[in-house]
Amino acid sequence: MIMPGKTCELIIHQLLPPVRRACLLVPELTLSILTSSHPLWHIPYEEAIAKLDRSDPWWAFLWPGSQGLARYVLDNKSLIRGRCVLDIGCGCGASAIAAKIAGATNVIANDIDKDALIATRHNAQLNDVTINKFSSYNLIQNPSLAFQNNKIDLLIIGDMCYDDQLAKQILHLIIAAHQHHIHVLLADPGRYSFKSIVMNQLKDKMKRVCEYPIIDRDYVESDFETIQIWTT
Amino acid sequence: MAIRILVGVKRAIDYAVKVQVKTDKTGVVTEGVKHSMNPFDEIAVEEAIRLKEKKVAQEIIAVSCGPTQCQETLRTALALGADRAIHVEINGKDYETLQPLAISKLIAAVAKKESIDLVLLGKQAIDDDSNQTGQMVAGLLSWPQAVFASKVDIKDKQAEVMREIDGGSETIRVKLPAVITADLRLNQPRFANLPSIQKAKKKPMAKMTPNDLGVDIKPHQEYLSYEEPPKRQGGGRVSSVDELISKLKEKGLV
Repeated sequence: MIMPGKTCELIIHQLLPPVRRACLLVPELTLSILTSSHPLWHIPYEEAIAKLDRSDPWWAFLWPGSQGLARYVLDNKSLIRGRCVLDIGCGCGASAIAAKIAGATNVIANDIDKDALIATRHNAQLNDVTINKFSSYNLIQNPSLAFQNNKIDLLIIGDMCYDDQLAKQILHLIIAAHQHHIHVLLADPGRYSFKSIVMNQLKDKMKRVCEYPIIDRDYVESDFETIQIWTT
Repeated sequence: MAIRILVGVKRAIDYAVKVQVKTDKTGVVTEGVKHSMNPFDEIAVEEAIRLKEKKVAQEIIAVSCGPTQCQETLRTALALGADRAIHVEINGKDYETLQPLAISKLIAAVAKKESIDLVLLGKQAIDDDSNQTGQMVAGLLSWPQAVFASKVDIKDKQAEVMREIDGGSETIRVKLPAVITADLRLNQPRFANLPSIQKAKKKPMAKMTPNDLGVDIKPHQEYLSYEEPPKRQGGGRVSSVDELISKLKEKGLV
């Protein structure tokens, strides 16, 4: 639900000043996101959404999976250089930005929330990179079409499997990508739906290439200790 | 050995709302009225989280019975620190006539299914003020109960509970599994902030029906009529003590 009112640009400029070293795991990035050093972090939920004028600002956070994905991309530039990358559910854009910094030729940022694309464009500027294309098309529902229409050779997915329905769609997306010979990088902190749906189906087809500790105090959640990077 | 806690959360009309009886006296107006978590349940959730922070509890499961909007109440419980949620969906007429015995049977069924060691509930809900559910859950499960808790200590599968009673307090010890209900002074609940609510949207919420749990929710009592409390008569001002005394004498009160 997006309540009409303040534009996302206005909110970003008025309420979310750029944070240098916004995330401990990827200190290279400057991002306009909410962190525990921001006053909005410390007030009741209802007051915060009234100020932001939005009920679900997913793009105002850097979720653990995406922290790990951005780290892996920056640490493995040779896998990214020269590639055409699609970041699905880009949120604040950290992984897409990391891909661009790592030398990807072409980066498409996709999110069904148009505010996320505005945030991504803004955050890309903060890090002196340009994302090549923005798309709000819900390509999880028709992955083949999206893969036919865009020349992509690497699909990156950060922390998307947070409920069963989304995890099932991500599972189909990974299978479709595989059929189109598109390489997949996925990062997840061990969410229940990822393990029970995606891993359950693809345990022989995906391998874990890396694991990072969750060191950002803002995201230390009871059941998550590490972020795992998986690839097809 | 860490325990598993079930915490019950009821979606009730917000404490700050002025409740109005429907014109046909069949109930109170709920449409377009702000609802939130029953305040005593907030205290129960807070206590569960503190037990988890002390490593006494290993998992907290929040349960709510009612329409889809109960999921918002469950999200709040998840945001505060519950690990997962179970929504027992009950709609329409079934929800309007839902009574404490049915809720107790549902909670007892979930407690058995999830191998729960401790059921933590608010002592009562601020809408119906029934103060029955905790006691009946304990009865249905044949578990000990410690209701109106103002302090809870859990050690070696036993709970030492200070209870609010007439004229003071008493401390009792019960063996787990048990039912504890929270009184007002048990703790001061924290509030949910934006990141915690967003994080909670990524926590698992299972949906089931009374049928899935093998529970019959048919009401056993019939509500005949709802009435507003009598309107207060307006007061008057007096300018002196003498005037007050003469007025009281006039009315034959002194």
